[in-house]
Amino acid sequence: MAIAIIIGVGLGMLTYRHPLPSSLATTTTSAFLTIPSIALLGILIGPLGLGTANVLFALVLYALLPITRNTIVGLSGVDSSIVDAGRGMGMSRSRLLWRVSVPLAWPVILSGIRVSTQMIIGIAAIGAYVSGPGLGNEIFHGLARFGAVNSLNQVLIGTGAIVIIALLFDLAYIVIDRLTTSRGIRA
Amino acid sequence: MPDTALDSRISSEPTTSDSATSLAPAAVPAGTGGATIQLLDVTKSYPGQVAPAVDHITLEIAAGEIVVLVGPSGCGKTTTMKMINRLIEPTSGQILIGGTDVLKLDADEHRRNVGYVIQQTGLFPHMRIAENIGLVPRMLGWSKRRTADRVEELLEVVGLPPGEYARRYPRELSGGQQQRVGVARALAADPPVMLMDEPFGATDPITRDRLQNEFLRLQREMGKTIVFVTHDFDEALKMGDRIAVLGPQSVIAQFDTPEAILAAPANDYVSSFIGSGGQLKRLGLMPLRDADLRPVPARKDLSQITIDASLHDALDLMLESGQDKVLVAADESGEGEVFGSIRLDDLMAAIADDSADDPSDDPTAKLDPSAGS
Ligand SMILES: Nc1ncnc2c1ncn2[C@@H]1O[C@H](COP(=O)(O)OP(=O)(O)OP(=O)(O)O)[C@@H](O)[C@H]1O
Ligand SMILES: [Mg+2]
Repeated sequence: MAIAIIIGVGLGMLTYRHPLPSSLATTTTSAFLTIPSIALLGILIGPLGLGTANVLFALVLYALLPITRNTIVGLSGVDSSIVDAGRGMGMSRSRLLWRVSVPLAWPVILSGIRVSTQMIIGIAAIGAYVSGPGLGNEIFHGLARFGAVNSLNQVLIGTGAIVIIALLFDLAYIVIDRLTTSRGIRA
Repeated sequence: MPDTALDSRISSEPTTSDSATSLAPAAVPAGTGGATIQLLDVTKSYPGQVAPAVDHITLEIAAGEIVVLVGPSGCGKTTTMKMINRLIEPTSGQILIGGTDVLKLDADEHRRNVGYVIQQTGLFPHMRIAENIGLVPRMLGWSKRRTADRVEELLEVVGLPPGEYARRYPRELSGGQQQRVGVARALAADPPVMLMDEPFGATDPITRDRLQNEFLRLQREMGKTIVFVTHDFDEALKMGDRIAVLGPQSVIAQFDTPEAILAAPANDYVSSFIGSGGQLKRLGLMPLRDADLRPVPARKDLSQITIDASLHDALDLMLESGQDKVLVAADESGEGEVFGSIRLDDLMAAIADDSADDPSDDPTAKLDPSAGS
């Protein structure tokens, strides 16, 4: 997740001021999203083999779109008169970005991160299919011996745990949002 | 700091700009004055546009002077102004501030030394008022302590008690209050030059009038060099020591004092910009304080007007009261001292007089620091 945030936000920051690269960035990242997860994991067996690296790589690709797109939308949505004023005061581009644009776009960026997280928690489960780690193993084991004793329970436990984790993450993001968004722009 | 003594000198002076002769930099308090601004043959062509947005403008602004750029929408006022702080880079020409070629300076550093106020205020919504105002001083390397003191001082100056407002966010202020913060922020590092792009444009007429008066009062203390953009000619008359009436592509149609422009518009374009009532507007620029009053007449049934008003106000009162003269007094209540009276003929004579010895003959005289002193 952290990797996806860094790449996604970074990509957004680099491109938001230029229409062509930024639409290129959104198109590419959304193309990743259209690949079915099982297929992508399967394709990646080629270069990355089975296991954690494969799953991690796939998850980063999937997480990119909402983060990149929200970063671009958030940053370019900052009121032009505010950017103008900042430049007029003699703020350098990077200072303006970090002190003004990013804080103002932060709620939008954060909601992109939040959507990404939800999405890849679901996809992560499928990672068990290529011998990745995680709760997906419970589900796949359960499904594999479906009909046997406790198999249904195993599937349910796996699924339930994933839902709970997703909810906990969501809760965490709400808290982070409260803590990191300036009171001056909170809705 | 020059601003602390402000409240002790709350204006008893008229709020219109001073007459042409008092514009010389000598009138500016020592140490706080502005710097000259020179635009020399400056042109800006936006890529992909046939005609330049600003076409070879040359404009010299004396230290401590307010020059208003006035003209219709799209004529290039904002573009002209933004070239001075290099938010827009000129295509050709030279811009000097205090004799220094600003195109050779580091753009960001240059901008920190030029105050900039815009109509939309451009306050940073996620920062408290104090942080907004303190930004430029901090960038210039002032200590926290010094910045905080300066912020407090400025909030007082613009009439927002720091105790109440410093820790608020912009959205917790009214539009007029936000404009004041915008002005305070531009003044924060005491820049010699201020650029103001329709700074009071977004406020209602009453608030605008008050902000204008307060700003003129401040300016009398500070003596900054100010470029002020508006498309409201009446605001230009009120704020400008001199007014540059701009036509399309920022071509200067006339550059002179408000009095001179009203008395002798250079051409039809300028006349059309003045609109109807040009002579009435001239009366509006003449304070009763400067008029030769007649002795107090025996009649006691005359209406009374304060000496802080203009000849235009006096005319208005004559029309209202149906009499051809009014009393001029310390206040309107009828209890204050009565200084004299003024008659309708006097108003006519004032207009005729002023046109006779037209001060516009030598507009460059005011650029010479030795002139008028
Ligand atoms: N960034 C830009 N790119 C291309 N053309 C521009 C740009 N900014 C302004 N212009 C054009 O330059 C001309 C002058 O614009 P400017 O903003 O200086 O006008 P203005 O006098 O400030 O008008 P207003 O009173 O409406 O603010 C206009 O014709 C405008 O369309
Ligand atoms: Mg403009």
